Amino acid sequence: MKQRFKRAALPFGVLALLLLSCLLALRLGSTYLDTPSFLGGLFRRAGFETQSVILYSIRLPRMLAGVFAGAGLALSGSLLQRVSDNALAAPSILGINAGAGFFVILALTLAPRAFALLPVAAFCGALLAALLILGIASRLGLDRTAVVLSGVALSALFSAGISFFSVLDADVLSSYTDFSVGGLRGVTMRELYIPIPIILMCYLLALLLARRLKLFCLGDTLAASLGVSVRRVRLTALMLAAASAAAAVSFAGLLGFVGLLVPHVTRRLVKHSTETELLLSPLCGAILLLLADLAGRLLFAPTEIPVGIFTALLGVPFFLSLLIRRKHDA
Amino acid sequence: MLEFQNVAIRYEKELLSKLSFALRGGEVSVLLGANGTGKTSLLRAVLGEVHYTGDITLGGTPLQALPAKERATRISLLPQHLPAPALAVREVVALGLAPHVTRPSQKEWQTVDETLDRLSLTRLSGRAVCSLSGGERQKVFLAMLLVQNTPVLLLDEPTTYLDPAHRAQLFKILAAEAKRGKAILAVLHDLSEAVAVADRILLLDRGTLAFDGTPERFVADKVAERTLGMRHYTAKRDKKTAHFFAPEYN
Repeated sequence: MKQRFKRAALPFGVLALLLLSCLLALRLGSTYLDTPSFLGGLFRRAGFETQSVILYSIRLPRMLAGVFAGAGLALSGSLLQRVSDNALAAPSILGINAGAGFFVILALTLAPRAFALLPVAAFCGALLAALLILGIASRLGLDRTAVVLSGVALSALFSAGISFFSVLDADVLSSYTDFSVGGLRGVTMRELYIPIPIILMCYLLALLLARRLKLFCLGDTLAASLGVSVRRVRLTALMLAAASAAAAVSFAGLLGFVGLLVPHVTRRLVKHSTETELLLSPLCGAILLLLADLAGRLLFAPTEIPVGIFTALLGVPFFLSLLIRRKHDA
Repeated sequence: MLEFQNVAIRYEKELLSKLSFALRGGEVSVLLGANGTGKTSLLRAVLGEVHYTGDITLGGTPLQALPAKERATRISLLPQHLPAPALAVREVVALGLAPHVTRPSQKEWQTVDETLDRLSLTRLSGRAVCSLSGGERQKVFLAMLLVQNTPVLLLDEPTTYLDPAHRAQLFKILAAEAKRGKAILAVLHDLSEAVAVADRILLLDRGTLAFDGTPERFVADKVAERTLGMRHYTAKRDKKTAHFFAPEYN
C-alpha cells in the first residue's frame, strides 16, 4: 500500500519540484525579484517596467530554454538507453554532438558573422548526423550493436572535421568553444519557437511507445515474440531521440552528461518502470538544468559559469554515487 | 496449424532449402539437428527476424500478412539465449500478457500467480530476474510463455540450464499443454530425451528435413546412426524400454 502510494505520488512530487525550480529561475539572478516586484513584473503593472523586461526578455526565455533543453536531452537519453538496452547510451551515440558541432564550425568558417545561423546549423547538423547513422545502421540490420558502432564511427569522422576547421582558424575555434561548452545565456524566445513544439511532440510520441519499449529489456527475439515490430519501434524511438536532442542542442549547445545522467537518476526513482521513466525523465532533466543554470548564475556572480560546466560538476559525483550504491544493492 | 512450405533460408550460402512440414495441435514435436543446421534460424524466421523464401502460414494465413501483435497472440517463442532484466520475476512473467491486454486485471494477475506456482517459482516472485541462476531464469521465461497462452509454442533448447528433475517437470508441462490442443515444437540436442518425450521427431540435416516421423520409427530406422553418427543403446526395466544415444569417443 505504502509502495503504491509512493508510486502514485512520485509524478506529482517531481512536477512540484519542477514548478519550484521554474519559480526560482524566474526570481533569482543578479537582480533579486521579491514577491511584489515579481508579481508586478509578471502582470506588467505600472511602476514595474524594469522587472517586466527582466522577466519577459531575459529570465522567461532562459527558464524555458532550461526546461526544454533538459527535457529534450533527458528524453533522448532515456529512449536511447531503452531501445539499445545499453546503460551508456546517450545522444552522442547518435552523432548528435559531433554532427551539430561540425555544422556549427562549418557555418562559423563560411559565414563568421552570421551568428543567427548557428542554431539552424546545429539543428540540421545533429539531425543529419543522426539520420546518416540510422541509415547505415538500418543497412546493417538495425540491431543495437549496429546503431552504437555506426554512431561511434561517424562521430569520429565529424570530430575529425571539427578539429580540421579549428586548426585552420583560431577565431573560429574561440566562437566554437562557446557552443561546445553549452549554455542558456542570451537565448531568445525566437530561438525557441521551433524547438519547443518538436520536443513536446517527441515527448508525447515517446509516451505512446512506452509500453512497447518496455519489452526491449527482454532482447529483440522475446520482444518480437511478444508482438513488437522490433525494427519499426526501434527506428521510431531513435528518430524521436534524434529530433528531441537536435532541437535541444540547437539553442543550448553541446550540454554534456544530461542525456546520460538523468535517465539513470529517473530509473533509480521509478524502479524500472519504462512508462514512468519516460514520463518523468524529461521533467527531471528540466529540473537538473534549471538548478545547474541557477548555480552557474549565482555562485560566482557577477561572473557566470556556463550551465554545461555545472551539469558535469553536479552530475558526475551524483552519477558515481548512484553507481556505487547500485553495486552495493546488487 | 503452423505450416512450412518450401521454406528456404540463405545467408552467404543456402542454410535450409525447400523445407515442408506442418505442426499439428496436440503434438509435442522435437526438432533435432547438428550445430549450425538452421534450427534456430527456422524458429527466428517465424518471427520475421530471419529472411526466408517460401511460405510459412498459420491456419492458412501467411505469417508475413499477420500484424506482429496478432501473431503474438497465436505464436510464442522461448529463445535459446535468455536475457537477465532487472525486473522482478512476477513482473516479467506478466509481460506474457502484453499481446493480449494493456493492463492486467485482477484475474490475469491470478493467472500469473498460478503459473508461478505451477513452475514452483512463487518463492522467487519478488526477486530480480538478473539475480537468478540460469535454470531459474529458464523457468521464469517458460512461465512467461505459458502466460502468453498461444496455440503454437516454439522452444529453442529449453533444457539448456535445467537439471534432470526440472527437465522432467518441463516435459510434463509441455505434454499437458499439448493435451490442451497446443502445437509444440522444441529444439533439443539430447536424442535420448527427444525419443522419450516427443510425439514426433523432425531432423534437419544438410539443409533438408532428413526425417519426419514418430520416435519409434526414428529408432527402428536407425536414423541417429545414419545421419548423426550416434550409437544406439537400450535399457529395459519394469517392462519399459529406455533409449540412449552416444557418439563413438574412440
